[in-house]
Amino acid sequence: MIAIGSNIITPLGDNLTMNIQQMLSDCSSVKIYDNKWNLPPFAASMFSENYIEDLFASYADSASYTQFEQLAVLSVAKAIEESKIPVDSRQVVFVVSTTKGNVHLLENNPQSEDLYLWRSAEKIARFFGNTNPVIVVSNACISGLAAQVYAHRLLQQGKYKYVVVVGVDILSKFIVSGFQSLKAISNDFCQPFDKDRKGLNLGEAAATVVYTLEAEHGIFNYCSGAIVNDANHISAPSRTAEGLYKAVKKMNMSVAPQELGFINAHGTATLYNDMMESYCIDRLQMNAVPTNSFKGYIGHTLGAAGLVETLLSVQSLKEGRVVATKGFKQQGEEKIINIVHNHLSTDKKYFLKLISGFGGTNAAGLFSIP
Amino acid sequence: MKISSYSKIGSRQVTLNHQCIAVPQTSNSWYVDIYHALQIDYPKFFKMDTLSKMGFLMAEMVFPSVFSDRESVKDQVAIVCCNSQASLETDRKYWQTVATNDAFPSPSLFVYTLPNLVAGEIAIRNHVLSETSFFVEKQFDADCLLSIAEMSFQDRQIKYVFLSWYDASQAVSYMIENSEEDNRQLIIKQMQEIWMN
Repeated sequence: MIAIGSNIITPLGDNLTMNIQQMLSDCSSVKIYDNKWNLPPFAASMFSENYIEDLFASYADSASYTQFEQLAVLSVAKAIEESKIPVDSRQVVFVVSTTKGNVHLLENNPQSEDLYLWRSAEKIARFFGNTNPVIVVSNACISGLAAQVYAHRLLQQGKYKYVVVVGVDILSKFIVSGFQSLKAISNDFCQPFDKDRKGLNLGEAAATVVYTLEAEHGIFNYCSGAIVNDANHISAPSRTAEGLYKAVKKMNMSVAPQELGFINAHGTATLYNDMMESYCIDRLQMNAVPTNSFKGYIGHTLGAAGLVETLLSVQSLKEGRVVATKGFKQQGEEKIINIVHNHLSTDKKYFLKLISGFGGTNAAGLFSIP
Repeated sequence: MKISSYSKIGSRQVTLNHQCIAVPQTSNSWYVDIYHALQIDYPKFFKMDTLSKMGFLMAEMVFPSVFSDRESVKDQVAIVCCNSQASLETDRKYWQTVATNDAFPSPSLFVYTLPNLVAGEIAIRNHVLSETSFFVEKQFDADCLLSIAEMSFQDRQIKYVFLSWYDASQAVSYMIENSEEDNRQLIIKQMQEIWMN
């Protein structure tokens, strides 16, 4: 499957080049929020107030769109522009990946129809004149990679020629208080794979990819992907990485580990996730492959993460760089793997994306650049 | 493809493959009554939200009716759950614990504000180390649902899809079995009839 259009918007920037530039300059959009929403202090990557609204206002009338929808539309618009597809035709289908959509509306507008994910997703597709049924994937934190697996299958079914995959989530008191109640959030900058890691930083973002099966000039290729549940616990991964390991095995990777430029791990900086991932990489005997996490730059962007991190990985590989794992200093007690300390150079063409989430979900994807 | 088995939970009736299951009232909860009627012993059930309870109970009926041994099928079944409101009911309950001044956010409610937890609960109970997914659709549409199951069959290892749909007070599950037979229209018709009855 070939990507012919892409975009990401994070608080680091509204395009891929800018995001990677910032990351290679060690910049992070994670900030400490003290007393926001009357919550205990937390660190997160959030858009500055009115940023999305202002960007959208210069583009269209914002009255009937929520901030969540505006962010998605802005990202889709740029990806579609690049791909030049006839977005309003029957050949195009939208796949929207999100965990919580407009859940913030519960606070001030609890009866709003926009609380329904399908409705919000339809508004995004209809904005572009697309009238096909919209598919909403809500598979916890793996949604953004799962959506790409489904995009591939949708194209193979033959009904559509193009799939627009958009991953988007924004933060609210609902989401932050929840992760705080689970004691999963750090009030300091996160430290993926570090022995002193204390939890995750959440983040806001949107990312879009336009996929098709055949194209002359692609930006990158989705080679294969798989989703496997570890059937272990609803909010804790299998210690032996049963699901994630099986997901990678199931993909039947067409390349040897030596051909991977890097593994982009989920690396949330929670105790259990990072331990599980190091166990997985060890079981795969990929200990030597440079492995990084982007969470220190943009936080964990929830339903957008699988797409955001795929695109950032593509862009870094295109620039011949492997981005360092911001926040990482010293490995903990887990299996020893090759966590990237400092930015590296690479001439390889493949990377492996790993991701896991609540409900026992795991997904893996293999991608390449031309 | 064929429908190997189905189960349905209505607001007053429980059905497994055309058979009504007697549900005596033993508690003040309809889902707990079904749990008792099915003679299940699985204490985690009581911690689940309504969506997960519905999915769990439907799977408790369908899985044993298709597989004699839970362990034998764990790689071959994909679990697909779909509805129109995701976890909105639990979202509202969780939000109450945040919004009420003297309450603390409830972590046990918060985890269920991810709708795919229902698929996770079914996977854990049935030791399914395979694909699980949650999709949100505007309304029950048998054609659309079957297309989603067909996507799972693109993975050649998958022989069955546990395909389920949830409304506020009614839910249905079909165990779709893959086979060479091409009778898509018939299955859609059967799915609709089962849902409407």
